Amino acid sequence: MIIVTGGRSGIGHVIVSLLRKEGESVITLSRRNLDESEHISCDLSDFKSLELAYKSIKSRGCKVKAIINCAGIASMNLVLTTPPDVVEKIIQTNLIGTIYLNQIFAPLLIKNGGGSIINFSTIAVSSALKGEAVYIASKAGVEAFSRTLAKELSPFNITVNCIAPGPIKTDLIKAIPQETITSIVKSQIINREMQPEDVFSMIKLLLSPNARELTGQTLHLGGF
Amino acid sequence: MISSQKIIDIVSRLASGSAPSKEDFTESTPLVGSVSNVDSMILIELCLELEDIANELGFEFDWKSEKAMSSLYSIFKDADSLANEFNAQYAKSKKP
Ligand SMILES: NC(=O)c1ccc[n+]([C@@H]2O[C@H](COP(=O)([O-])OP(=O)(O)OC[C@H]3O[C@@H](n4cnc5c(N)ncnc54)[C@H](OP(=O)(O)O)[C@@H]3O)[C@@H](O)[C@H]2O)c1
Repeated sequence: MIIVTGGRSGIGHVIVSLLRKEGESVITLSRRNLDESEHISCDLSDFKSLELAYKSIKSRGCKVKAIINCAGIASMNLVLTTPPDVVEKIIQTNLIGTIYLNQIFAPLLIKNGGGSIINFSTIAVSSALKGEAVYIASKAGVEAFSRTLAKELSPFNITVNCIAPGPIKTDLIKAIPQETITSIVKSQIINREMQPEDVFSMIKLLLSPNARELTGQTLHLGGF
Repeated sequence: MISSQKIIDIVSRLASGSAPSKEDFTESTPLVGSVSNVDSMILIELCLELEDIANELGFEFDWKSEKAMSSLYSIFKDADSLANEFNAQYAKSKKP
């Protein structure tokens, strides 16, 4: 079983469809309420909500081999014009939510005898993209946290890595002007706008037995 | 309820094959800190076993604590303090 947060829209949705196509059983976690046994409504920014999701999955008794943490929010704004509640929401969801999710759910992988955790960062961390400072700060935290967690979990045969994509057309970046997207894509080593399917290829690589020695890394999709 | 001896037994089993021998663990053996024979991997596995035991007893054992890594005040100071904390949480869960 694979757990995917944010698996009901954007990149996560495509990943879930492709994983299921390959015969994987997947549980999605996100805030929306759906009357489906393979979805758990849960707010990543809320510790108690994640604990309830953990108990629900644990009670099903399935073996969890990977956690793919796609959920995230962004808000394009200048630092000086970002209201404090937006700062808090972004840090609470992207960074604190990632910390909570990893600490609460890692025991499922330990009980499985090992597995993979994949968190999401962004290429914007490396490029210091103007207008994304708070989002970038949250994702830089995710990268540093993942690198350190990789050390703590390596004795349990668990790898922890981050995927850092450039712009991929989803709701998350709909407010970003096309010129900005084009210029970010140009800064990638591969000057092509990436698709969720490209993220999936990277996920497959990280989940494959050949990647057991690949841990504590941030992989930049398209290269940076 | 859990005894200090039960915790020592779990730690000894988890540590079997690694450096300290079974006899090295007593009620007052530090479970954390620089003088501890118990590495972080064993500590986490111990927590997960205690979680399962707590579930069988019908309560949730919460091992997260601000002072978890303090060799003076931690619930992991030694088997005695860990057993006390486990039993206190169990007793609290039984209160109406
Ligand atoms: N798209 C890009 O260009 C791009 C680039 C770099 C990095 N990324 C990263 O890639 C990941 C996926 O992005 P995306 O483009 O697919 O975004 P998206 O289309 O906006 O989807 C984000 C998902 O996160 C879930 N979510 C948001 N807040 C949540 C919360 N508090 N608790 C639980 N779930 C929550 C949402 O579901 P609910 O509404 O149901 O909660 C949604 O399914 C994100 O981490 C993002 O930062 C994206």
